[in-house]
Amino acid sequence: MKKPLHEQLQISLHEINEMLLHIIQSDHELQRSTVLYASVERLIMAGGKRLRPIMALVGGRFGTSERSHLAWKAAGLLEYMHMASLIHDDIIDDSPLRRGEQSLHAATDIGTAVHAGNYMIARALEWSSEDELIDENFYMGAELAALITELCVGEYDQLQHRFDFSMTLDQYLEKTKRKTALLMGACMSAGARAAGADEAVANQLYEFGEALGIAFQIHDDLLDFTSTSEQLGKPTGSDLRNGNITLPIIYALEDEDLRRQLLLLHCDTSKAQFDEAIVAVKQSDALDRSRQLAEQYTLKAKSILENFEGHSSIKDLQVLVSYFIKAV
Amino acid sequence: MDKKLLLDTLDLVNELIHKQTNIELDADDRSLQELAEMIGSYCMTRSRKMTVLSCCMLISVGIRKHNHLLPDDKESLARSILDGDYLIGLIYRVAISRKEQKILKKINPIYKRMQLQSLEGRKSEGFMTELKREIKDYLDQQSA
Repeated sequence: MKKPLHEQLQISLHEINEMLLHIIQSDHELQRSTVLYASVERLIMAGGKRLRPIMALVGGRFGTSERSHLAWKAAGLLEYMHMASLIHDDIIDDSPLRRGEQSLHAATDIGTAVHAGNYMIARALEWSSEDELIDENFYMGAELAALITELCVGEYDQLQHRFDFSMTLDQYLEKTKRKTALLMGACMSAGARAAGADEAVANQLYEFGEALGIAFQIHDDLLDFTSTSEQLGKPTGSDLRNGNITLPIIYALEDEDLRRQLLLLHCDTSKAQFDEAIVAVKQSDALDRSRQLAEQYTLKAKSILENFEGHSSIKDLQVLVSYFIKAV
Repeated sequence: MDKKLLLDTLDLVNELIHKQTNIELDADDRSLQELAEMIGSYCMTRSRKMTVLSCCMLISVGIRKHNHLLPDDKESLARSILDGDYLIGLIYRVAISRKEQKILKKINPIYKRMQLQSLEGRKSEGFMTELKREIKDYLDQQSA
């Protein structure tokens, strides 16, 4: 069996988790006895693949070793931004579970979860520039924090297009770039920039991460149809049940019979009718076509590797591509 | 009072806000009027005054959005959370794009403390006073 991604890249998940814990532990304004501290600690201990900090650390390998600690700072900030966005997304999507555990707002309350997410971003930005004699790192962090506006526009998009079966492939890709791919691209480029890589290299790494991010989101769309409710921790087809138009649905709408069936769905449709529609989508070619598009994006990422010929860390990018190809 | 500074800044911010958000800010806020008056009294370019006031405006409204959530109205709840997130994110964007990054070093810690206070159940009334004090300190340093 192949080693997990972090081991293939010689990145310690333990070190990443320690860094994430250190961000709250080193905040002298946060009492350890508070619900906030316990909640953030629980989120971190719940684990996860830590794809985003791993991508930032790989990006950092394109800079200089003297500045590699700054790539760790970018990795910490980006993972906190990601965790905070998940907390707020869970409230918006009314999801009681996250990775099989109670989501933060379900375990506490909505107000606590909203402020906890806000705190996490502000604290991570503050932490990312601590111990640095120069302001450069703070401003780099602030540029990353500004990406929140783009993530939000992706969410507004999703909210406004609930059960909007007229969504086009281009609109889907635009939303996906904002919601998911942009942050993955930013992980690669921010790690590189923080570690002092050339701007051109950082930009190419952004393109690389963005392409992988789109493939990743399509894979996530597919899992919603191919996984069991036990694996997902929520009912199969939850995206469709919530009115989120994902790639398999866009392809399924091209089939006339399926289109008729899907257009009947709305927020008050019965569970049985949704179940039928989900089975029909699974039996169509929509999932295969989605997989093919995801593959095209991983191939796009692979083609960007040509720009890094001769660089000692190109093998790490190859590992990332292989990981995403397998995931798709 | 330089009412035009407040109105021009409002126009600037509303133009920067992405159309898809449907957010529109207004000037009916006493504490913002006070901030506009204070910022207007400093000797600096009008463009910089507008940037500083934009940041104050965004943080003030952003916080308000997150402090007035309606948990039973799913649509409104989702919008308030997104609006607050968007407006706070926009502060960073505005400050960086208009080369006023240093103000973020003043605003970020206040914003963090504000979240901690809200989590402790403390009222947010003192927030605008603290913001005004920090902004005054920032403007004093900048115009020294």
